[in-house]
Amino acid sequence: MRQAIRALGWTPKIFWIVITVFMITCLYSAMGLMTARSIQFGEFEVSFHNRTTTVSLPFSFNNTGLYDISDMNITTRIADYNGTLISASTTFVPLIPRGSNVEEVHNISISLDEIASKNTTYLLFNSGNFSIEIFAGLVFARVFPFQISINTSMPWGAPFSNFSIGEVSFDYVIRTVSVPLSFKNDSPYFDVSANIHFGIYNHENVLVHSGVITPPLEVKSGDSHEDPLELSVGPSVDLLELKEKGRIHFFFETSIFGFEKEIKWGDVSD
Amino acid sequence: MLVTEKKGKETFAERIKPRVFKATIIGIITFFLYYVLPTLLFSTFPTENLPSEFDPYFSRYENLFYIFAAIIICFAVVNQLSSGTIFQHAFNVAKAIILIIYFIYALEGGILTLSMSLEGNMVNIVANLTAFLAILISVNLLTLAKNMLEAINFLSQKVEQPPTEITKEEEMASIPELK
Repeated sequence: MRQAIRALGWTPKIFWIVITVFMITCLYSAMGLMTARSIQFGEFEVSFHNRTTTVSLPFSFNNTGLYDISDMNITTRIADYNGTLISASTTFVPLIPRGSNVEEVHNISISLDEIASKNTTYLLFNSGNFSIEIFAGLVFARVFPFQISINTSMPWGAPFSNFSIGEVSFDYVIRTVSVPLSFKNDSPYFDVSANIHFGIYNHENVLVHSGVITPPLEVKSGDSHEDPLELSVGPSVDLLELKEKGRIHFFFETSIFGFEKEIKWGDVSD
Repeated sequence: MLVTEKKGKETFAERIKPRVFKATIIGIITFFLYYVLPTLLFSTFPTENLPSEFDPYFSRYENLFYIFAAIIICFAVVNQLSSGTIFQHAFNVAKAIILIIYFIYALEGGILTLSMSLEGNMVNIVANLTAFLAILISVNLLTLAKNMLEAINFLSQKVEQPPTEITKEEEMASIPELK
């Protein structure tokens, strides 16, 4: 009995000493990591390749602590204002040994094909805020898993914000169809440069004229477009007949994306 | 009779005096080891560069640290005062149980969550300390087991002790009819 009690008496004492030393060194290391700004982020770079926009964020982790850091992962999830997932990217660093500096790049890829497949063309017309969730996890000293999550938002400026097509008017003298078009390029990232293809259909839903508006539509970032589109039509098109019923099918084509719009007047069946 | 009581009181006071003295010394040493030394150690930690949003959490754990020091110091003093009695073992068992409850409370069941607003962004920090909490509870359970064994051992030794020898005169004097 006495021997068992003695053994049981020593075991917690040894454990306590080990735990206390471990805790103090862990706290000291963690404080050092937090205050020494061990994580440094570089300048982000944006690249466009294969219809995929990639935002590269270089970062370095200098483990000045007394223990290894393992299973470090950074995950970024970007969702639009309707909650549709735009991008989810993860960077994983298996081990950062103590006293070493690791340099990595976190790539956030946004595939336009994926966005198109999710039917998110409303992003082109409505500005709003994207929600960005950043999860960073690591295992400190191979014992303590930590996770940091940051919820932030990023303003999204639609390149065709408040897009509207007005009433069609006809000029029988110069034989043009005038379509009022207005929108604002809210995008802070890129200018709008679009080729506008059009097709004019008569009351019988027959394509009577098609073409491309020249020059291409050019709207700089932050600027508005208010001018009407002037569609010249050939002498074969009966404008008086067209004025009664018809529709115009537009296809806006930019280097990054394309979308269709249609305007109808009168009672035209598709 | 009065002489006997006075003698008994003096004996108790004499008996308790070294215990009180020892408890005071142990209390001071424990206070130094569990309060002064960690406070000095924590003051060397480079916390001044941390964002001010961490302050409420630091003050919470500062308070919890004071409670921990108070528990340890109180039980160290009580342990010395009741040494050589069954209460010593009872207090040690109580200390182990209180420490288990304290660690579960302080570590929030092993999952520590900090939520704060940093530069307008919501930041959540989650630390999974379940493994560490399990170790702390295991160590305290070991202490608990040891103290219970000590209590059993103490009681069994009391039972095994031979009764003190009483002289014939004392035995006769203890019978009221013969007084």
